[in-house]
Amino acid sequence: MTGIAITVEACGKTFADGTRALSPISFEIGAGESIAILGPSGCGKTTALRIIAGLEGPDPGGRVLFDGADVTPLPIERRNVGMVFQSYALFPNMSVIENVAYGLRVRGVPRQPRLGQAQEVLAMMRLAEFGGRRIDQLSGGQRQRVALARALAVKPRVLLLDEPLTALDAALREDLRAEIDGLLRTLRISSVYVTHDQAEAMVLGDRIIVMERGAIAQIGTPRDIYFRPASRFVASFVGTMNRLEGAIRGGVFETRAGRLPVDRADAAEAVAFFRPEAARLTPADGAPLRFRVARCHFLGAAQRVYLDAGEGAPALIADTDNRRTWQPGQETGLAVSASDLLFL
Amino acid sequence: MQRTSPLIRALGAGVTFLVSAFMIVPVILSLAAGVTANYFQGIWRSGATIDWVAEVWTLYAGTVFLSLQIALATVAATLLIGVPAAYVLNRHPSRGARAVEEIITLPLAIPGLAIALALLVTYGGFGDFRKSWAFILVGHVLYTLPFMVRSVMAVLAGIDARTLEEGAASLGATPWQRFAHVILPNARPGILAGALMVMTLSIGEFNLTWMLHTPLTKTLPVGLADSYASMRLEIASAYTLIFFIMIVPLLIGLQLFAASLDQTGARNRTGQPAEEIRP
Ligand SMILES: Nc1ncnc2c1ncn2[C@@H]1O[C@H](COP(=O)(O)OP(=O)(O)O)[C@@H](O)[C@H]1O
Ligand SMILES: [Mg+2]
Repeated sequence: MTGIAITVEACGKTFADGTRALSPISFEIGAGESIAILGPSGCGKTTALRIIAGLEGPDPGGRVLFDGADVTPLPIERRNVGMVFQSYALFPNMSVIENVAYGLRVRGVPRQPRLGQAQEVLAMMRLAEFGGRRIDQLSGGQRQRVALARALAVKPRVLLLDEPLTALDAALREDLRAEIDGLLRTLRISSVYVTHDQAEAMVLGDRIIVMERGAIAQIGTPRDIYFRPASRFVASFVGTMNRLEGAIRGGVFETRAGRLPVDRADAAEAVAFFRPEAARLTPADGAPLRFRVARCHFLGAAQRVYLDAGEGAPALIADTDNRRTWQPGQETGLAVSASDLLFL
Repeated sequence: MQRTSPLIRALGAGVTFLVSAFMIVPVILSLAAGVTANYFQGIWRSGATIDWVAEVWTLYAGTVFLSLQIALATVAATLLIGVPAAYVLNRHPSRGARAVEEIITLPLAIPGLAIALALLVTYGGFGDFRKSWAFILVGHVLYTLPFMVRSVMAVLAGIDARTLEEGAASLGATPWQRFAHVILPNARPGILAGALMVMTLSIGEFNLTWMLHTPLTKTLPVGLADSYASMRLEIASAYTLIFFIMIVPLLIGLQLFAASLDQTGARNRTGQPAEEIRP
């Protein structure tokens, strides 16, 4: 299975009822690349995926290209894509192996060879013994693997997944996430994985498209998105972000809690963002920023300290080592390297 | 659980028995009259006979066969119209579809007599059509169609047919393959329930049919009314007996079927795993 390159060109979507689900968006997916589309519920992820799949047509002017060929007018059944739905969409009237073989059946593959091929795919998904079962005799995780097997059995040109793990419980979700990751890397198939879960997006996406209200907020590798978010929205949606308000005067960022040297032009109002792991707690004396500890959550491997940032401001979060103990009300210093401060 | 005293329980059982008897005894008496040689002497003195049943059969066998014929044709017609209609309404849930659904359901609220009158006013002039059994068939189809459409639509909504169809489409199935391989087999419970319901309604339908029939197109219920009006009580009762024998197995079938549907309904049908849904 080799993947194809996909080009989405100015695809907007306005539904019949007037809902503007997508402003025209454009992006490219390289051959064999795994793309994750990440964003909060209702931001247009599913709509974007359905336009690539051919389940939904873009507004006039939008185009979808597979390996350079315009597939915009083709319905999904003529695009040769594999699709995995959040609700699995397995056929209850067919056994597991019949489900997996269905794509081959409609392609006219005779019964014996198609059952043989389906069995191979089932074996690849560690479902070899389940071929004869009815769908309602499977657990949620098994159903999702059958849905994947069914989509892969037709050797699609691209695999499209719409929040495939959302219906599963947390532990299972993590197992399947790793399994899908392994699968995508072995098959080297192009894929688009829609999710609202940032961990899934980071594990499964070579690149992540972050969406906000029907538009693309940022496209980049997981590291780009995490370390160099393009907007406040991306910064706060991906991972945890601390926010510190103040002003910049003469190369110094002045806040209520103290002063930090920064390499930036003067600004009467500035907002700095930094990650909890970039925050270092220091002795209070002589520290550039000083806070009182609001509370401390011991998490085993790490420890999350909440700092009181004053009236009306959200607490600042510092992730520290798990040995020291912190008392509420205790005074502490806070240091952040200038390179870890983002002004957005 | 609170314990009820034996007295209250005995009382409850007694009342239940009386009420049941109140309803069932007339049915039994009426049916018994059909096999009684002389009703006025009673079954014990005059003895039992199947002569009346035989006589009804020679007089009215035609109505039984016509009723069956119309019922089967009504089922066929509602299947051909109702199943695709339900499918289309489910697939395109627009405001227009909602209106169509309402219009299809309208005949339920309109008295059968009014439907019949409308048909007579409109098509009464087409002599051959008006005189044929197809005229009654049209009335029955109008009257029973909503039951078929509703029954199939309910099942389609329950199995999330749209997503199933999209799943099939993503695997390369053409619209016709999707309908034949995925929609029809999974809608089967609704189709069967609808067909049984339509069959039962058609066989028992009187209002409409009475208005639409001609002396040559009498159905079983119309013949029954006829015999009540003009024949000996024993004949009418024997006729009821025949009607009963036809309709009861259908009703029982319907009940058993509904029960089995309830059981499959309790299992999860959408493909969502039950264990993750539970809190
Ligand atoms: N068929 C539809 N008709 C009208 N509005 C729709 C339809 N499908 C989705 N929408 C709307 O479009 C927006 C984007 O939806 P969707 O793409 O499903 O978001 P996401 O998958 O990110 O949660 C939402 O506001 C949703 O209500
Ligand atoms: Mg969605």
